[in-house]
Amino acid sequence: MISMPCDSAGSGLIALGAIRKYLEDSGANDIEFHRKRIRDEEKKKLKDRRILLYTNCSKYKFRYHSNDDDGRDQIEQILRASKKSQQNPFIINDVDLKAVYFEGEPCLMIDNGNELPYGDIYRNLLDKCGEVYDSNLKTTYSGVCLAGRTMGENTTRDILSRIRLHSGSEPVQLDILLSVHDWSCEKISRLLFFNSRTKKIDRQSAPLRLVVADGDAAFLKVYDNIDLFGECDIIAVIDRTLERDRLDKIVETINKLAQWYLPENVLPENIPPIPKGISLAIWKKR
Amino acid sequence: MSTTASSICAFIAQDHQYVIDRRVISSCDFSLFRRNLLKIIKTLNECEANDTTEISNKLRWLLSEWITTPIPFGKDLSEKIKILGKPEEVAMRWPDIKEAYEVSLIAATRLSQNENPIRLEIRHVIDDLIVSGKKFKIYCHKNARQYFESIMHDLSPDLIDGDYFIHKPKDYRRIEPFDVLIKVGPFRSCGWGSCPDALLTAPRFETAIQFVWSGSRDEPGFGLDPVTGVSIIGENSFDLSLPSENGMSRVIPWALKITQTGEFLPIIDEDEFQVFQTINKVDKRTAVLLHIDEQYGILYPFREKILIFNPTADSQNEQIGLHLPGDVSVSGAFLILPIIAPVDFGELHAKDGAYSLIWKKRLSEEIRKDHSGLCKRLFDSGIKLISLFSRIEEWSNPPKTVILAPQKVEHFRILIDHLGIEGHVEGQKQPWWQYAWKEIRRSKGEAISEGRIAQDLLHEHSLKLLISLQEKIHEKTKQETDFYIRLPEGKELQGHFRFCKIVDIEIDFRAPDSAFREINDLREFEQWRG
Repeated sequence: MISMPCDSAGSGLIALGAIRKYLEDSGANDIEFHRKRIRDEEKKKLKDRRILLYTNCSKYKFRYHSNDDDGRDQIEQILRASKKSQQNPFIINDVDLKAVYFEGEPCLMIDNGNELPYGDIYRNLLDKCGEVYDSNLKTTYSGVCLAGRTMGENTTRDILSRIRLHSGSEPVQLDILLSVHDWSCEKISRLLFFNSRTKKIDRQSAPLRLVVADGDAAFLKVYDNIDLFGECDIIAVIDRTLERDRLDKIVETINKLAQWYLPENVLPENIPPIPKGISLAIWKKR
Repeated sequence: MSTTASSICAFIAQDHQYVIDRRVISSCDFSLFRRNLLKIIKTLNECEANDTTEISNKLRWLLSEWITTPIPFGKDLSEKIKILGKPEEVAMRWPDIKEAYEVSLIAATRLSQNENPIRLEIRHVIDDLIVSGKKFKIYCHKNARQYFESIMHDLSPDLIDGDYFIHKPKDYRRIEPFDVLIKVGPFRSCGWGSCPDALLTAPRFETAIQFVWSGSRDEPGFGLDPVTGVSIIGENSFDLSLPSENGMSRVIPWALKITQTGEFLPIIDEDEFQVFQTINKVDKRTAVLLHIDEQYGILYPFREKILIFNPTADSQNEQIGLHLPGDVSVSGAFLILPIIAPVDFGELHAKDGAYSLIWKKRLSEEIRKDHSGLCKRLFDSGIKLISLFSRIEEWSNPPKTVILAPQKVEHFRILIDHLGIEGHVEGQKQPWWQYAWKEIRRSKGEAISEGRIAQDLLHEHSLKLLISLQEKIHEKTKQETDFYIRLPEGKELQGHFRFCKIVDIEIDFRAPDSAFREINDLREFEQWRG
């Protein structure tokens, strides 16, 4: 938990750091989870199956059809209402599920040349860190989440957009670098977004590894949501210039934490000295 | 223009010597006055009678204001405590406070002959700051601003146009770093003289000059960092915490410099706020005050969810919802008051209240005939209110945001009896005054539901209905700040929703149940400031 002497884009910067860290990890992608999610559609009734899009056939919409005896996946075209009586839907056999994605969600993978265009910024973001694994710039990952402000998604995005980073090229806004699906025109996303106001995430995720909460209210929403965030690490960035009642709520929640967590009293070696005016508390599971 | 995180962090990163320059002021007469007034407040608070508690609350409010603002003493001091009545009446009704009252009046008279010493001190300090070219700000409640401005006006009338005041945590968050902060009264997190913990945990200035009366103590635990749980003001309230040594946090290190000025006091003054805290805890809950315009507001328990329409929400689905009053955004949100009833009173609005027109007209006539006589008759019949004379006049005013009337049903019935309005409403069994009373309650936003519909159920039904009316509501909010929308015919609930734009929110209150969920003059809520 980090307390700041003012309102800031700290949570966005931390989320960017987390994106950078997982770009080094060859296993940081949604491939397995994605495949399972699509195949799970077969368990649903036909009418309840979600709409799928296929990158190789972008004119049509599909739903998952079946996984045949040989393990080959099939998707079936969804006919528009006006066409229903005129033709039969076609089925694509032995489809590559990595090219299929849910409508309203990012693609799982994209081709060469379409990867996230800010590789230089990610690579040069920090000293003393590992190499970026290039294929990660072409693959969606949902292990890291940003929990936005309860004032709404636009407020969160607005404050993040005021920070710009560049690496020899034109400056890029922080909100764009975070590659949140709805904020960016890129087809893949390396950060899940949790809307603390509506309590909804922007896509289903594989088990989360880290959530960064932007503000006190977002932290409380994350803390209460055990189903989503019960197993992951939490970093909360709190502005301590808030009204007293809100500070008291945080203190109350931290006091409750003490039953299951122990405070760390020494700053970990890999963290640089804390700047004046910022305070940090680390709690680890007992 | 709002400040940036970079400028704040850069300011804090500099090697400032943060100092709380506490100026403790002592005055024998003010000490005597405070001590005796406190005795009166404590004694009256223990009495059972309603009007006695009301007087006690009013005196508590006055004393709190006197010790947290640079108010000019003048003749006001003794005039204001005369709400108790003449000394001989006080001696008869409350013999326990006879002596304290007499001493208070004598001390008040002596105080009124000289300027409030805190004002003199502030004047010197501001003069010095101006000469030395330092940037300064004053943290105070917006109602206290006038007292500072009168001091500044004496120094130079041009000063009043300057941007010197901070009234809320929100204003403080936006401010650029400056040199000196001026504050009157102890550091407290809520109630009279309250200020944000951030003044000490996230300073935008190097020196805080704090003026306090002798005996006033800072709130233990003030200056809280929620993450470390460490506070700048220690348990003893004179201690300042030391910087954390484990490298996990860099607490702002404050030094305390105390200067005593004024007369020597033979007795140590009591800290009034500590005493009030004990009084306030009984049967009171923390509360949030929503201002619906410049004059009126409504109080809600801190943990009670209220219906809100927010036209600026990210999506349509989020416009209508239940929120805790402290979480509501002030920028454009509307409070929704469901005014639900089985009987339809027609197009109901305080401005055209059918019953109030009749009784207010009669009241105005009676006032014109014999204001004092009416006042005496009402008092003798049981409306034992302080400043009844001026209140009667307020009740006769035409309805605006609310229908101004007595707060209690028995007082209203007495008033109607004395105005000679009798009889029944055609086709209805209940007497006339009961319908007039319902009209008043509704104008104050009370959800009259004959006690049958529980609050949660009411909210659940209301939400469904509101969503169906969303488009109409949105259109109305573009043009009006206070309006009604009638519920569609044939639904389970009948009545109206009242929409009031929220213009401000204050969280510093502790109030009894009777003070909640009713639109009232903002001055009425001052007695419940924590």
